[in-house]
Amino acid sequence: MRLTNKLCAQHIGWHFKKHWLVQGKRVPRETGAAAELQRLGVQVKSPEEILEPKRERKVVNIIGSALKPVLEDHTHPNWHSNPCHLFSDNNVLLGGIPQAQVLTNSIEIQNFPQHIDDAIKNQQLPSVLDKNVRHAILSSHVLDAEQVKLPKVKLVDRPAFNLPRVYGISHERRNRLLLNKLLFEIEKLAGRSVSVRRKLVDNAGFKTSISKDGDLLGFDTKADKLICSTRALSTIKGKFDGDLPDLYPMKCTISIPKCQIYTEDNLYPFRPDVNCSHPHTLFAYFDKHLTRNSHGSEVTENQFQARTMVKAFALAVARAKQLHGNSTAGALTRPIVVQSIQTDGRVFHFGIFQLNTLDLNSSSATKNYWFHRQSTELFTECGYQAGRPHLEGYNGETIRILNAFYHNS
Amino acid sequence: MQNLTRLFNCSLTLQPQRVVAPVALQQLRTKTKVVEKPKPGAGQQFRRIVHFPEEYTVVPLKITHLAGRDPISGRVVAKGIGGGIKQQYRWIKWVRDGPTEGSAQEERVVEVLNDGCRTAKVALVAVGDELKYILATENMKAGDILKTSRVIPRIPVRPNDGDAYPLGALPVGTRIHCLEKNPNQPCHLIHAAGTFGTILRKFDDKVVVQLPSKREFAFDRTCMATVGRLSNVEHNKEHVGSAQRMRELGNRPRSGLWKRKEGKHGRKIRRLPPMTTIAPPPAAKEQELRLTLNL
Repeated sequence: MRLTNKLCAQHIGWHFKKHWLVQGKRVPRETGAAAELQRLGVQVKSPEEILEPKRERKVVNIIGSALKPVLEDHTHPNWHSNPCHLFSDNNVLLGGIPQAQVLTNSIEIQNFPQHIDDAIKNQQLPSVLDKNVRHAILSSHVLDAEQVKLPKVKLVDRPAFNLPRVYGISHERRNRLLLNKLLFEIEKLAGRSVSVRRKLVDNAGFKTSISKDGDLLGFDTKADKLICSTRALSTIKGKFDGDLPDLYPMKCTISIPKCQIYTEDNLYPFRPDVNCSHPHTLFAYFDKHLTRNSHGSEVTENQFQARTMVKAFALAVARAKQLHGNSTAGALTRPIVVQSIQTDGRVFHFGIFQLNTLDLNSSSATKNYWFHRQSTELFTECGYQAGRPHLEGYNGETIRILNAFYHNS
Repeated sequence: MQNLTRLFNCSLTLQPQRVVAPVALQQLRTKTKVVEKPKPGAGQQFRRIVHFPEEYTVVPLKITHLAGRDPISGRVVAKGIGGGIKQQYRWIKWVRDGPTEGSAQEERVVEVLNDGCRTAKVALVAVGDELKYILATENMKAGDILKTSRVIPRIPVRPNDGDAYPLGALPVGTRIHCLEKNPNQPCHLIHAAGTFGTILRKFDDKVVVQLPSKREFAFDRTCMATVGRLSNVEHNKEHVGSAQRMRELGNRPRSGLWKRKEGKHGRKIRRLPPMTTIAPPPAAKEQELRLTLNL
C-alpha cells in the first residue's frame, strides 16, 4: 500500500503510543495479596527497595566559609512557647488612644498639666523667634542639598499611571534638621543655665517587657532624639480620676504582632550612674511609609497619637525597671514622668506621661496618667511654588509648646 | 488491552537494549512532545497565583500573574487573560466559626476596604486579639457588631446584616451569601459583588436556597451562611468604559467569535431544572501510578 496520510493515521506504533498515554496511568487497587502473603509468612517488599536500596549517607560537619544561619523556629535559642506581643517602630495600635489606655492602664487627660499650661501662656519670647523658625522650616524642608529618590507615588484613581520619580530630601533627614534647628533656637533663648542641664542624644534605642493580665508585652522601639536631664521631671500635682474605655469585643493586644523568638531583657540607653541619665523629652519621627497598619490602611490621627503615648510609656517602664530592678511590679514610690513629642515634619503631637504603677492588670487600683492636646500644625504647606521657596500657614503655637516642654523640670 | 499484550510480547523478544542518550536530550523532529494541560473551569484559576503564608494573616499578600497559563506546563489554558494592574490580595477567612452552644460570638467591623482581586468589598473584623477579613455586606460599616453562632434554635433567629448562622437557624426569605456547600467543606458559594441567595423553604433536615443563578438547591441545615446581600451592588451596572480599562482589569481583547443570536450562543428559553440536593463532597482522588515504559 502506498504511504499516504490514511495509512499513517492507522500506524500501529502511533496507536500504541496514544493508548499507552492513557493505560500507563494506573491506580493500584488493594487486592488482599499482600495480606495473604504475610499470613503465609512471605516477606513483602516494594520493588523500589530492591532496585534502589537506600544508601545511608554520612553527615560530615564541614566548617564553611560563612556561618550557618540560625533557623527561626523552635530550635532557636531564644524560642519561647509563650508568645510575646512585640510593639516596635513599624506598627501602630489599631484601636488608637482607647486601646493604648487599656494597654498601659492610663487615664487620658485632654489637656496639659497646669504648670505647662501656665508656662505656655506666660512665656515672653522675642519677635525674631518666629522669623528664625520660618527660616528653620524652609532650610530643612526645601533648601537642604540632599537629593535622594523619594518613595513612589501612586494615584488612587489612575493606578496604571507611572508618575516620574521624585528626588528630594529624605524624610528622616528633613525631620532631623528641623528638630535640630528648632531646639537650637530654644536653647539660644534658654541660655546656659538651662541647657547645661540637658543633653541631646540621637537614635536612642530602648527595650523592655511587661506582663498584663497574663499576656507578655514587649516594646522594642527607639527615640529618634532624646533629651535627658540631670534631674528627673517632677511629679505632676493633682489627683486625676477616670475610667478605662471598654474595647469589647477586642482585646487590648489586638494588632500587636505576636512573636515567639524574643528576650525579656531591659534596655535603657544610659547607665543609672551617668550624670545626665533622667529621661526628659522623647522625640519620635513618623514616616507613613515605615510605620503602618498591618492591613495596609493609612494611619489615622488617633493611631498617630496613640503611638506618642506608647513610646513614652515604654521609655518610662524601661527607666523604672533600670532603677528598681527587672522584677519590680506594683506602684512606684516616685512616679516617672516622660514628655513625648511625635512629628511627621509638619504636624506635632505633644504629650506627657506619668508612670505611677507598673501593675497593668485590669484589677489595679492605681492608674497612670497621659496628658495631651490635639496635634498642632507647624505650617500648612511648604515647598517650591513657581520656582520659589514657599511657606504657608505658619503656626507659632508649636514652638511655644516645645519651648515650655524644654523648660519644664 | 489486547494491543498492550501484543506490545509486551514484542518488547520481550527484542535484543538486549543498546544504551542510547536520553530522549529528552535528543532532538526528535518527528516526535510530538506530549504536554498534559488542565481543563479550564475545573475550579483552578489561571489568572494569578497568590503567595499564601503558612499562617492566616491580614497583611496584603503578593500575587504573580499567570496570564491564563498553567503554572506547571506553562501552556496557555484560559484564553483572554493577561496583563492588568498588580493588586494585593486580602486573604478572606471563609469559615465563620462560632460557639455550638450558648450565646453568639460578637465581632466588631473595623474598616470596610476595597480589594483589587475581587469585586465585593472586604471588611476587616476584630475579635479578641485576632484580626480577619470577611466579605462586606451592602449595609456594613465600621463599628458594626456581628454575631456568629452554630446553634440552631427551635424558633428562627432575627438576624442582622453580616451575622453568620447555620441555615436551619435562619427564617425563610432571608437573603444570604458565603454559603457553605457541605458542612465543613472548604467551599463557599455566593461571593460576587451584589449577589445573594434566598432561603425558600425547609424540609426534613434540608434547607432550600435559591442561588444567584435562580436555580434551587437543598443544603444541609448545619451549613453556615452569612446574612445579607454582598457589597458593591452597582458593580454589574458599572461600565468598563474603554478598551484600555479592560486591559487594566487584566483581560485581553475578545476573540470576536461570540454571536449573541446565532448558533450555540443563541437565546434558548428553557424551564429551570428542578431542585437539586447538594451531593456530599467527593472523595479524595486516588494517587495515580505512572508506569515508565518508554515507547
